Amino acid sequence: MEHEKQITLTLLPYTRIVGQEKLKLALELAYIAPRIGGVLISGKRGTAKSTTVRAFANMMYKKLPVTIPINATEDRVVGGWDVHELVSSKAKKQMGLLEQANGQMIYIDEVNLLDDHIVNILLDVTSTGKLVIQREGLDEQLDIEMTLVGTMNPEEGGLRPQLLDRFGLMVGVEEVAEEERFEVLQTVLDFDRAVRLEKKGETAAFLQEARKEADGLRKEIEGAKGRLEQIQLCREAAKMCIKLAQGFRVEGHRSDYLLALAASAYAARRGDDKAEVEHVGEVADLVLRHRQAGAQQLNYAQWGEQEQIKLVDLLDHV
Amino acid sequence: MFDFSKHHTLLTSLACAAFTPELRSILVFDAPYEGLQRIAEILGEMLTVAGEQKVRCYQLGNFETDDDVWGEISLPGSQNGRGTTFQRLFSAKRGAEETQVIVVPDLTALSLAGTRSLIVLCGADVVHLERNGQSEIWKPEQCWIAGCKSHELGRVSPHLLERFALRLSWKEIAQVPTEAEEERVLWLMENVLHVKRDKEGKRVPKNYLKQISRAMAYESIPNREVLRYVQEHQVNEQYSTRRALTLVRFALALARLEGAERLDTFYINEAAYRLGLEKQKSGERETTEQVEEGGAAQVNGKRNIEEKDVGSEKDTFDQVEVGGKLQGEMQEVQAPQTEQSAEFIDSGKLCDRAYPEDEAAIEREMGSLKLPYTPTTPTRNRQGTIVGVEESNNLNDLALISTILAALRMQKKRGGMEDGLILERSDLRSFRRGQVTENIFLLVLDYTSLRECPGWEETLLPYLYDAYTQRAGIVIVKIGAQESKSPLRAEVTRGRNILEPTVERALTEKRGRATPLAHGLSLAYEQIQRLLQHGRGRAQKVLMVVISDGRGNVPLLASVRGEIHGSVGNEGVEDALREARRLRRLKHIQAVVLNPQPRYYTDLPERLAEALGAGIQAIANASESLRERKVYIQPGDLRTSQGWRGE
Repeated sequence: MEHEKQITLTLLPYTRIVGQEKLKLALELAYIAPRIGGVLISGKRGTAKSTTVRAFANMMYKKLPVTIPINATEDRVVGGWDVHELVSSKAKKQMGLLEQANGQMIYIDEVNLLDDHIVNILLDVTSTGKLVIQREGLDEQLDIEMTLVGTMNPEEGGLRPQLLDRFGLMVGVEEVAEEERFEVLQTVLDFDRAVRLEKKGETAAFLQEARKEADGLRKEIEGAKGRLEQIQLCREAAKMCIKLAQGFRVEGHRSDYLLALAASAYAARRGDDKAEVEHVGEVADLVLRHRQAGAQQLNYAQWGEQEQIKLVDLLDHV
Repeated sequence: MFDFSKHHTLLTSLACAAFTPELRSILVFDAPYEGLQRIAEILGEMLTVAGEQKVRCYQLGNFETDDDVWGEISLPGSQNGRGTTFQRLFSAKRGAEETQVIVVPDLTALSLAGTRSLIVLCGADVVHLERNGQSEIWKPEQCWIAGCKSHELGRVSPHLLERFALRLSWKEIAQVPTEAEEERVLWLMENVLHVKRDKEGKRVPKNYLKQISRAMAYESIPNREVLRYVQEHQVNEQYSTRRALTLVRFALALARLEGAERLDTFYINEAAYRLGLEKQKSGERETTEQVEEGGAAQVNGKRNIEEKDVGSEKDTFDQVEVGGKLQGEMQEVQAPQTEQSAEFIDSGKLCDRAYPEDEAAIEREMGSLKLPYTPTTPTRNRQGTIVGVEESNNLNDLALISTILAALRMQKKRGGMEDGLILERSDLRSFRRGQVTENIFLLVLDYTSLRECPGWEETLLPYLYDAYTQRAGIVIVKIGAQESKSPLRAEVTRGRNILEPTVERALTEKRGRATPLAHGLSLAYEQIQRLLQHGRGRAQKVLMVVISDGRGNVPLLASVRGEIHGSVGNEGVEDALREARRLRRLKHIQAVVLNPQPRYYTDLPERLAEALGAGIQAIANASESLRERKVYIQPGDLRTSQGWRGE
């Protein structure tokens, strides 16, 4: 635990991450409304995907997110016996990662490289909300609710459509805009220096200020989560959710619900009382990107100029 | 005052990596294995001085599994009387006790487990281990030194390559006027990488190490103007935050090495030049004294570093042994004069181009980092390379040790051990294996026979489609390609399946001038022998398609020797037919010749087919309509009506 705390001290604070506003918004919405189901973050290496997720978890949960690495085995994901105790004739249960993440975020880095077997377990749990442990003599069933967050580089392959569907929101991350590149460089180098100072036992103003800001932001987001149930979705916004889903030829009705939920979470985040059409418009790409027709193969899960024009067109014709 | 321009680029760059954790991942192109080892040793010595704890070198090769890398439980009582221990390469405990320098001799041959571990560890802020009862979190701090041949760069995933901060070209760091590899290696090893150790067993000169420890105390601060300079001048068209940061961190390290108080554009330019971002050195810096001219590695102009004593000892850096000469004064680096009169030059660069992978042709398959697909139904022949272990519910391909270890954990609970091991179905583990290629599609393609043969691709297409549906491995023997290394020799390209980019590239190459048909068929013979007879994952059947007009004009001996003397007559043709008859004797192959219907020597393709014992199919040429095309054999016929030869 102490070791983990030391590691969190060396994470770039969430409030100091330059740009990536859509990514941050998606994480915040998924936190405010856990029923959204999770966030899939797709982008090339070096675009601060993992950094942002860890920084967000550190800010909101005061610790690193529960993480499933790509080489995880079933016993650690589902849970089993503590090996060291078992060989010493003591039957002590070791909680699995899914159980640890109950009520919180569970993070999978390089989700598209995960073992198929572990993917099957995740699909089972996220679709039923139940973790069934029947292995090594154990027989348990637990209700599990968690926010699934995955990061991936699409160049290394896509996700199975079933797993893609479990993520409520999807964000495509690119290199920062030209006007932000300078700030990114400055921030990272200042952070490097601040960490070196803290390791020497000195106080780094950069980190102190960032942590103070993060405290304030966390309270804001917690407040938004508390207000979510009071947010009303106006009729026009509800109609727009359906219209957008139809316009982008999305199958099923899940995206209607997700659009409505994400719009409400966005309204809560902004401190508004009602979720209106403009809120729906702001979150549409996050919900529809990986659900629009033809997006089953991740290579086609794009949201570019064409999609944006289509969205504006649909929004304008209210 | 230490002036890094007076010392070999490689050593100063390794010194920078030693005290800058973000630079401790180095990709080395075209280096011999001894060179990689030596670089690892040098870096290890520097790391010790840079404040790291015990430094140990390890190697990741082409056979490690996940259990080797991440650990599996050992037998109880086997380690210092403890109940259970995990034997593994990477762990929080190991990370706390030692600094690991991991050497990967060949990145293209790294095992899948090794590759995936590199993805997880190299350049990561945090690592999670959740395997076989183990649960750990730690910050990885390994140093990575990986070798790769520059012409094979396209075979490595960019997702992997991006993790390496520095690129180092063996050819660049020791330039010689000749291509004599041995001379280059020898000079570099002796003069830069210090073959001989000193009395204390160190390779790196003591005063060099001293400067590294001093550099740790410096803190060069970049200002906004310098960062804007990086933005405007040094980044290439495809911007990457990671690459820009590497440039700045490298520049900062050079500044700290010199004890500079601030980072100015001189260091940015120097770092950019070393990395290969700039073709020529640019920019000047203010100096308080003029530096002597001459030599490849020198500073023009003035310097802005304050001359000051660092520490109480007299600064003796100028006396560092460089190129076998003791230099008593501040002089430029001179090329050592050897008896062979080779002039070795320190170009001042680590690599000619900063990121050669951006231009490398793609030669890897999609999803190369994923675990191989495991069919749900058990297959009779499980012959692929072992890449891991997975749970099983039957005894097929049992992984005995893993099964026993799985059972071991439960023995106390089951009341086993004294009376023997009690196994249950849930303990069963089988090997996870790489894909087995049972069918091989071997194409012998004579580019010089395709001049008046526009329909060859159409005729070949059904065979390619067949190879695709059969999930066949691909071998292409290229005869007379324009891009061949030698026009007198054929070449071989391999691919795991028909979709690999190398296959498409081979099919679209242009024709050359010579036709080493005999050599091509000889290579085909060798390939088939190897595929059918060697290794655990050997193929079962080979479909060989030969596209040639039979007019080989290079005798086999000329191909072997790489030179041709005088006229060859019909020697090339006769040699080709002889090799074809050799191929005919092999079993488990089915062959067909696609006849380009040449205007002259029209009987040669049929003679070739007869020698091979192959079917023959005509390719439509420009003057022939589809209806006139003579078609003897269809691909489907090869497996049904004729059967496979040898069965």
